[in-house]
Formats: sequence, C-alpha cells, structure tokens
Amino acid sequence: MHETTVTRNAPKRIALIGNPSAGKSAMFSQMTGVNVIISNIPQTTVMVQQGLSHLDEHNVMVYDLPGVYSITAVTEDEAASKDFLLSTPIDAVLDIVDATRLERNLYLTLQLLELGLPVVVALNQVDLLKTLDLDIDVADLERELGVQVVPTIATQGEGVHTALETAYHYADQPSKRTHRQVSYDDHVERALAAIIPLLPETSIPKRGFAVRLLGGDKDFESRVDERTLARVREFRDDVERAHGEEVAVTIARGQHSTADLIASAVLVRRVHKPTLGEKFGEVSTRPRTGYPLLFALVGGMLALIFFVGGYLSSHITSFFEGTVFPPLYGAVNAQVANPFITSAVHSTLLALAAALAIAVPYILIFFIFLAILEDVGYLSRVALLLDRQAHVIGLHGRSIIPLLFGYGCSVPAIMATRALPTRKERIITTALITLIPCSARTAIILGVAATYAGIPYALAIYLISFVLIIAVGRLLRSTVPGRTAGLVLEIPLIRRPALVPILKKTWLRMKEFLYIAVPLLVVGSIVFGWLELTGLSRFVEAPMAPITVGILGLPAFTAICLIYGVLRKEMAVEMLAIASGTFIFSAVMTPVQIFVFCLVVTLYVPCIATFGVIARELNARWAVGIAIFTIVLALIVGGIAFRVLTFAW
Amino acid sequence: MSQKHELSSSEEEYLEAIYTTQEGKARVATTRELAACLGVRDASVTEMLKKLSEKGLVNYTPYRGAMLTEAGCTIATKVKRKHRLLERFLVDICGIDTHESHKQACEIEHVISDKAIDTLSAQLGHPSTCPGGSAIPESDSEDETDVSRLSEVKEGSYTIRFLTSAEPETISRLCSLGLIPGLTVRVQRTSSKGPLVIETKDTQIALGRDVAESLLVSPEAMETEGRRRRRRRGAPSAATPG
Repeated sequence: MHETTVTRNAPKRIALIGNPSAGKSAMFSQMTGVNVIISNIPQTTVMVQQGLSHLDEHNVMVYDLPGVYSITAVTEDEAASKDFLLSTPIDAVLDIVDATRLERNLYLTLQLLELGLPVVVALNQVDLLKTLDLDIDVADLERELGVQVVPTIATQGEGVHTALETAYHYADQPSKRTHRQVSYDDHVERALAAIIPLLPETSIPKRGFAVRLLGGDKDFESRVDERTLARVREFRDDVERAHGEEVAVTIARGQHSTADLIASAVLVRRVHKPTLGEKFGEVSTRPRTGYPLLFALVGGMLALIFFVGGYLSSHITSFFEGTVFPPLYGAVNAQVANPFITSAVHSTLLALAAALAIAVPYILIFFIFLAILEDVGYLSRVALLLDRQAHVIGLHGRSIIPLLFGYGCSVPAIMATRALPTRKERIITTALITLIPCSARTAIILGVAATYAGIPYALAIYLISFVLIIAVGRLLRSTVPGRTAGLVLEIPLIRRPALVPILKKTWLRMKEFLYIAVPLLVVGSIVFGWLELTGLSRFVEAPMAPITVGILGLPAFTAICLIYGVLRKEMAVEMLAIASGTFIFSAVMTPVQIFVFCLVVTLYVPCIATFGVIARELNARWAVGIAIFTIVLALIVGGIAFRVLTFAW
Repeated sequence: MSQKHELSSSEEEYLEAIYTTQEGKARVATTRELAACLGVRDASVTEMLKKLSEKGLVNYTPYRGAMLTEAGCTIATKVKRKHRLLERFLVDICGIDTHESHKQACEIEHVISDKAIDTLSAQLGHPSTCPGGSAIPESDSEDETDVSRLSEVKEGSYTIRFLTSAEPETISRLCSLGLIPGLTVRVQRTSSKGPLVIETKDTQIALGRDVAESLLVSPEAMETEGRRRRRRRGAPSAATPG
C-alpha cells in the first residue's frame, strides 16, 4: 500500500460489524491488543467498545459494535449497533463475514451496502473452509459484491493488518465501484420506485432509505413527514395484499435470494465428512450425551472454583496477613500518630487484600472458564439444552447464559441481559441474577458456613437459593407485564479456543468488578474503621436489634455487618470478624446463627454495584423494587430457617 | 387432517374472512375486525368462532379473536382460491364489474367443486392474481394434507409455507436468519418436548417449540421448484457456479 494520505490530527474511525460469532471480538482484540486501554463509549451507547489501533504511524480508532444479524434491531445490543451506524460519521465499516456461513452473513452485508455505508468485507475464518470442504473464490466475491474483500483468520491474526489497511484506505479507492444491489420482486420494486421521489435528500441512498421505510423501520419512519409516511403505508398495504404476508418478510426474501445467488456463484462444495469439531458439536447437543456433558462441565467448573478457588483464597489471605501486613502496619504505626490515618491505611489494606482474595481465585477462574466455553461455541448449546427447563421459570434458553455469569459476578451478568429480546425477559433474568450466589457470596458460603457450621449447611444455602430462583421466576413470570419471545438461536460451529479473545473477554468482565466494586470496598472499609474507632457503630445495633435478634435470632453485633454487606457482600464477613473480635466465628455464634447469617447475606439486597447496574440497565424503580423484594425475601427465609432449625435442635 | 369437514357456506365465509384479515400478518384476527369485514354483529362473530373452534378450524381466544389452525387454513386457502379465480373469470370473461363480481364470487365459491375450479384455472391460464391484484393461492390439492407445524414433523427436509407467529421479535429474528416462507430447512433433531435443531444456509439453528409451532411446513417437494436447495452433506454435485 502506498502512503498517500495526509496525516491528519483526528484518527480515522473504523467500525467493526458482523453477525454474532463471526469472529468480530477476535478481530477487535487483534487490532487493539489486550493491553491497550479500551473504553466504553460514553453516554448511552455503552455497548460499543472503542480501542486505539495503529497503522504504520497513523492512529486508527476502532469501534466494536455488538453482533447483529440484520439492520432490523431486536435486542438493545442490536439497537446500539444500528444507532451507531446511523448516527456516527465513520471512515469505513469493516464487515466481518463468517466464511463458513457465507450466504447468511451476506444478508447483513447487502443491507449495509443498501444504506450506502463504506463497507470493506473481512472474509473471516477462511481456515475453516478447508475442514468443511468448501472453497470461496475471493476475486469472484469482490466482483459480485462490488466491494473489497480481505480473507482473514482473526483468531491467528492473519490478514488482520491488511483488513485494517484496506478499510483505512477506503476513501482512497481510485474509482468507486458500483455495489451489488438487491433485486426485489416486482411489487416491492414498483413500491420503491414510487417512494423514492418522495424522500428528502439525506446521506443515505434513497433506494436504501425507501427499503427501510417500506419495511416499516421505525428509525427511518421518524425521519420523514406524516404525509410521506401515509403514502408509504399505502404502498406497504398494496404489497402485503399482493403477497399475503408482511412486507418485511417479502423484503427479507429479496435480500436472502440475492445473498443466495452471490453465495452460489462464489462457493464451491466438495464431499464432506464431518470433522472432529462437528462431531463434538453433535454430541454436545444430542440430549442423551448433551446433558451428561453439561453436568460434567458445570460440575467440574464449580468443583474447580470450590477447591482451587478456596485454596488460593485462603493462601492469598494468609500471605497478606502473615507476610505483607505486619511490616506495613509497623511502618505506618511508627510514622503516623493520627489514629484516623492509621485506621484508614489498615482498612484500605484489608479491603485490597479481601478484593484480591475474591477476585483472583473465584471471579477470574470462573470468567476464564466461561470465556473458553463461549469462545469454543459451547454456551449457545447450553441455551439449547436448557431451553425447556428455562420455561419453568418463565424464560427461554438464552437467559441461561446471563444466569450462568451470575455465579461469577452479578454486574457483568446483568450487562449480558442486553442480548435478550424483550424487556420482560430482561427484568426476570436480572431479578434472578441477584439471587444467584456470586463469587463474593460463594466466598462467604465456603469461608464461613462450610468452615464454621459444616458442609451440609453450605450446600443447604445453595439448594435454598436454587429453589428460590425457581419460585421467584414462576412468580415473576405471571406478574411482570409484557411478554417473552420464543427461542431462535444460531448454534455456532465448535472452534478451537483462541487465547487473545478469551483473555480480552475475561478482562472486560473483570474490569466491571475492579473498577466499580473495589473502590467502593475500600471506601466502605475506611468508613467502617472510623466508625469503629469512634465507637459510633454501637448506635446501629440497638435500632436493628428487632430485625437481627428478633426475626433472625442473630447476635446484635451482626447488624453493622449486614449494613456493610450492602457495599460488598464478602465485606459482611470481614466486618463480622471485626465486630465480633475474632475470625473463629464458631466461638461467638452457634452453627444455626452462622447458617442464618450466611443465608441472609446471600439473599438480601444486591450489593451497591449491582444496584447501580440495575438502575442503569432497567431503571431506578426496578432497582429499588428488587432491593426491597430481596430484603423481605431474605428476612422471611432467614426467619423461617432460624425457627425451624432451633425447633429441630 | 384427513377427515373432511362438512361446512356451511357461512362457516366457509368466516374462515375466508379470518384468512383475509390474518393473511400473512401472522396475527390474531380480532372479533371486531371480523364483524366489520362480514357486516355482522360482534356477538354473532363470537358465537361462530366458538363453533369453528370446536371443529378445530380456528384457535379462539375470548376477547381477542381467532387464528386459523392448519386445517382451517387449508380450507380457507381453498375457498380464497376459488373466490379469486371466480372473480378473474367474472371480470375477464364475463365482463362484470369488480363490485358485482365479488358478490357473485362469494355465492359461487361455496358450491363449485374442486375439479371445476382447477379446470377453470387451467382455462384462464393459471392466473397468479385476482382482478384486485391479490395473489391467487396455488392449488395444492394433492398435498394439502401435508401441511403441518414444524414442531410436529419428523427429522427430514421441509419447505416453510406459512409464518403464523404473532411476536414481532420472533418474526424479525426469523427474517434475519432467512427462515421465511419458501425456504427449505432440514430438521436435524426433534422430540416431543424441548427445542428443535434445524439446519439451513449452512447454519444450525435452535428453535423453541413455541416458534416451531408457528411455522407451517410441508415436506420438501423434490422436483417442483427449479432451484432445489443444495444439501450440506450431499452428493458431490451441487454448486459449481453458473
């Protein structure tokens, strides 16, 4: 490539778009690297990631848009992609096309071209073509589409540089070629011809504009006046009457047929024997083998987190308390006289140690495991296998994925509900996520309930939370207004996991924990240290006593722990140690009290970070509603547990 | 649906009205719409819908309206075909104006035999639209019994015929994955409960039972459409360009 562009101050902007699982995130990781600072775009479109990439000495801003199947947005994720494409000036759109599913992916490409976007196609996963006994003639595809096509293997970084370069130089293409146009059936074409003269001048080609209007795209309908819209509706009715189906379906047929024609022209198929990956995919979805595999994987994952996580967690804690803290404390105590400052330093260190002891062993292991399952294409199979079971709680299989994330950390789990198609599903899934024992709660259940009350108590907490999830799910299914939409889910090919995207995904999810939760933990810890120092914390115990002692049968000093548990669940335990003056909880509480305490901490009010995310993703009312609901639920369940166990004792 | 329904002409008229109201929109035809369409009172519509529901021809939800079942759809399609072909005949051959032809077609459609209408269609050169521009449903008298819900079929290849889902999210998702009438899909795995796995356009797709129920399919007709869907793991023939 020749260097003709004048270096400008503003970096060029390139947006990555493509079908889900086409390899978009791998492409983004390769372009921006793992350690490059990636930030969410401010304001509303938090789902669009941006990262700085470099091409020779030029900076390029790369935007990673959520995966979409078409321009017609169903989920909030997809709406974010569409908004971005329609509202942000970009220099090029790099359309990641999954070579193994060419025809289906070209559907989106044709829509992008129709909207006049500066499209360059990255034909991704070309390495898999050979194993599938397919072959694509890239030059033919370029000719058919009228755009530049770069073959890539994003997971290995192959072709990524060329793709970026081609997109970067999009504007310098010597002569604009004419893009492939979708040919629709006569009725639609006639309607389009009639609509086009009515349209205002915009940056969007009129034909594309007319197609969106005719198809009933709300985002385009809002761009024309009422009179034009009325005319469009007449044309729409005409076409619908002629075809006996929704015009959107007729339009989709035209686009799919054109995609089919292109794919048939460039794709060569040979006799194909199923590969190992396909055989595994088959095994993983067949009920007889799929369920055992799923149980083995989930069980293995939980066991790994329990044993390895618990082991690491206790070692990290003892490392800090035995090796790191004593000299630090000594140094601080020797240097600073002010007890408020020494207390603050102590609290900060304690908080950081606690965060490390939870983040690294529990959350990190969990998210790496999930990212691997996601990357190989297994998670959609989980959604398929558990669709039927999810109906019990008023959901569909795809909600299982955010719920699974919930066992790691509620914050990224709730963010993942953006991929659900209806608001009702988002609300139910979000509410249920808050009841799932996340890593912090796992730390409590393992570290306190299992250690000081006994393993059966720890298992009982899991069982109770599971039963409650089902009960609450059923309750919400019939009370939350709105509806859910049936499962329509692409099942990706099983792939070999690629390191970079896995690390990137894990990092993005960890970041939510590190940036939102850890600062709160530190601040809360400092404040608590001061309250202790001044003796103010005693004032909380008396007013809370009717709840802690009266309803739950807990010692009065647990009041402050429950309040601090709101900041961060595992902090309740740390506070318990401080408030009771010992780490050996069995010395100050009976097993039943320990059990009830852990149970309540697991269930009651989501931590403050989760609360904030719910308020942002749903709204403040739902956040407050869910918080109140969980508090009441925890008190009821805790109260019953206390009475039943005391009675049975 | 092997058993033949003996229907009165007013029952057929109702099925036709639901078909027209619903046509392709994959939605419930409300009681009010039907009353307006047929020029009768709401109460009469409710009564008739209950009757048709008992015969298994419509799915009737009180206060909402009705959707045709596959059996109802088959009959309604047939009646509609007769109606539109008759209109074509009355306008083109007899020179009757469209309003009058509609009225007469409404009368004749319930009494004319299948054989007679097929002959008429052939005589007219198998027209594809009625004088009003609406499509004339194709005669599928030989395989009308083959239309069934995707959720009810065995493994194998099927062509999607109708999309009866009422959820806009589902319709939109089906459209973007190309699961629209005319497409051939291969059912890879199905059971009496739980989702189905189908394959089309080189892609495996999981469909919830509720979605599968809303897709009406018929067994893939091997020789009909010129463009036969290439099959993934088929013979080496298939797709050389050109």
